[in-house]
Amino acid sequence: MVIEKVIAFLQSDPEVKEKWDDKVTHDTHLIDAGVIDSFAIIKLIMFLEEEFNIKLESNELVENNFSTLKNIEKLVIEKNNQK
Amino acid sequence: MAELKFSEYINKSPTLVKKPSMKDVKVAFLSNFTITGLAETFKVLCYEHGIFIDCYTAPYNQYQQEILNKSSQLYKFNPDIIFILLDGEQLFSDFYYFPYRMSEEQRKQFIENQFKEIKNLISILKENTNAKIVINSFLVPHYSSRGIIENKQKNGIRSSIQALNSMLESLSHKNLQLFVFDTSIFCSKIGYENLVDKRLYYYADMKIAPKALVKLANEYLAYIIPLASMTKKCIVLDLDNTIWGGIIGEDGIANIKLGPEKDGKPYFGFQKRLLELHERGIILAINSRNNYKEAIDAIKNHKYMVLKEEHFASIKINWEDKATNIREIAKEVNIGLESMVYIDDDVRNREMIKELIPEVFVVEMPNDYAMYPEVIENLKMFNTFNITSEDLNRGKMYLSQKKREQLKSKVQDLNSFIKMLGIEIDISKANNFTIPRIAQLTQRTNQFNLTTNRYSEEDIKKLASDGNHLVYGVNVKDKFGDNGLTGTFIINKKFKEKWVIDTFLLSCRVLGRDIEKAMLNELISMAHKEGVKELIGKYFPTQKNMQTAKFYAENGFKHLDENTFLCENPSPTENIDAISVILN
Repeated sequence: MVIEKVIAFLQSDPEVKEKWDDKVTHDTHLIDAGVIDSFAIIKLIMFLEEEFNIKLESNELVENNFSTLKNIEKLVIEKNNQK
Repeated sequence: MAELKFSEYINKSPTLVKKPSMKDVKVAFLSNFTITGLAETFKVLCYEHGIFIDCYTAPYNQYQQEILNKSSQLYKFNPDIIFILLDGEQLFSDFYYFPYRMSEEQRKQFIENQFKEIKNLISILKENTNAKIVINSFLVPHYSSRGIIENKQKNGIRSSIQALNSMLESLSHKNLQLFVFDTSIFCSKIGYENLVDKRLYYYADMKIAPKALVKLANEYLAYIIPLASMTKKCIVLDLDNTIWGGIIGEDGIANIKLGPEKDGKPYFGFQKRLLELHERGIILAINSRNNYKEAIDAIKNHKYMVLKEEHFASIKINWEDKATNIREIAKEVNIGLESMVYIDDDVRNREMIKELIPEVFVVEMPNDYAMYPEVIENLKMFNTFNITSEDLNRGKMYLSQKKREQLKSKVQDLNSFIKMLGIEIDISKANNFTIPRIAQLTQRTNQFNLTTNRYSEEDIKKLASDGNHLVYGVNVKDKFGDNGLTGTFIINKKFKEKWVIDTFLLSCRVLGRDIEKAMLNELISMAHKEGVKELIGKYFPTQKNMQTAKFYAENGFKHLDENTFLCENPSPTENIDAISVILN
């Protein structure tokens, strides 16, 4: 559920969608693969907070947390469990 | 139009498709920090107001290169407006953290140098683009190592930054292209806690939090409204529970809520806000379902009515439906429905107007009347880039208009009406005093406007001085009063013996009095005196200027093609004897 929502959000950006091909899996390193950049990450952070009603701490704003779809899902689930 | 979440704006922005009725505006953003999402948010907000914007956000912290390099993306994009967002912490570097390492004199010098650099960038922008330039003033820092004695320091950090902001404001007084957006006022409105999100401030160099960018975009909208010529001209008001509390027909004049105490106060404040708008040139009108006698009695005789009968250009108090009344008001004050704003506490009335007259902007009203004054404060649609003396005198002009209408209903035919008015028109070359108003007329006049060429003040200035054009302003007065500068025409005389009428327009306020004919006669005699062989008139149809379609044909011009009319060897025709013309 989290992953689907994240994909839908990221792909709403035409530039991201253009770079998003069949090879992208839940484990693809999205930043290394050039699918998302630092600006897309900022938008993603706001989306995760608003959509899943979580608040990330500064120490969670690290590239690794947003590098793959699986990592993003893990972050959201962990934050939800902390509530 | 409820505020969305930041991510919802991001999501929605790429899906927007331009509707044919929408105005286009090109917007550029320059900044020295991350403003991701501002363009997307702004695009959605403008779209909701019927404006389609194309945005260019310069690369991160590249504002100087973009301005200095004449072939930069910024200039290629050719924006109509440029927003410049500079963050002081980034720009002032050590001065921001260690201002007191410098002497009092050095601090003064430092700020003056900063100003010079910005001023230089702005003048380069001005040379290379006609775009409006909006610069955010610098946020005055909260923190000072000097604590409670910070403001005892001469040229302290705060007073230095305030001084820099004042210098920018002074610069904008002289430079018509430049506007300063007051960041401190913005911050005091939304609160510093909402302005920054310290996590993203450090992680992403976002000096303005995403949620605050949404609020900022909302403030920036005020600049786009006049740019898209969408400034509103008239507010139509309901009475009961809108400009006073209670229902006049049931509660009576003694019991409606209005005045300087308790629950009358919000209505009192609301009326004061409206009166001030009236004084700056916004037309007011009443649209109320009531018995005329009771309601007008309250308007005339309630001790605390701030708005008096004479402030309303049209009063419709009757049992007609409100949509019919609005159409009547538009006819009476002679403006388009799209220039009107409707204020009514009753949601059913609002929905009805939205449904029946979608051109009218219907203001959402809060349930709590304590919020009413704020509703007026938050309206962006009365913004203009300048205020002309015509704006300030508009109220008086509509009052004399009412008297003219009364006279008209007494006389039998149009000619004798025009004679009785004793019209005097004064046709003068554009000068520094009339240029702002001439530009305003080209931007605002929709009905009697043959070409609808829209010009900024800078454009008019250039046309008036380039040697290839003649720009004239037409002032109209009669025995009831001065209508001010209400007409203009611009002639392209590049080809000596062939003049092309680039612009010919008359404000709807003075239509129906043969003034347009007197103007054209004057133009023709000018052409005659200059030995012009061919005088070309242009007509470009729009949805609103149909009444001018036959104007040239009816005045002796030959119809050449779809948009072109020709008057060969123009020679003066008989003057309209009821109108006296002064040519300067």
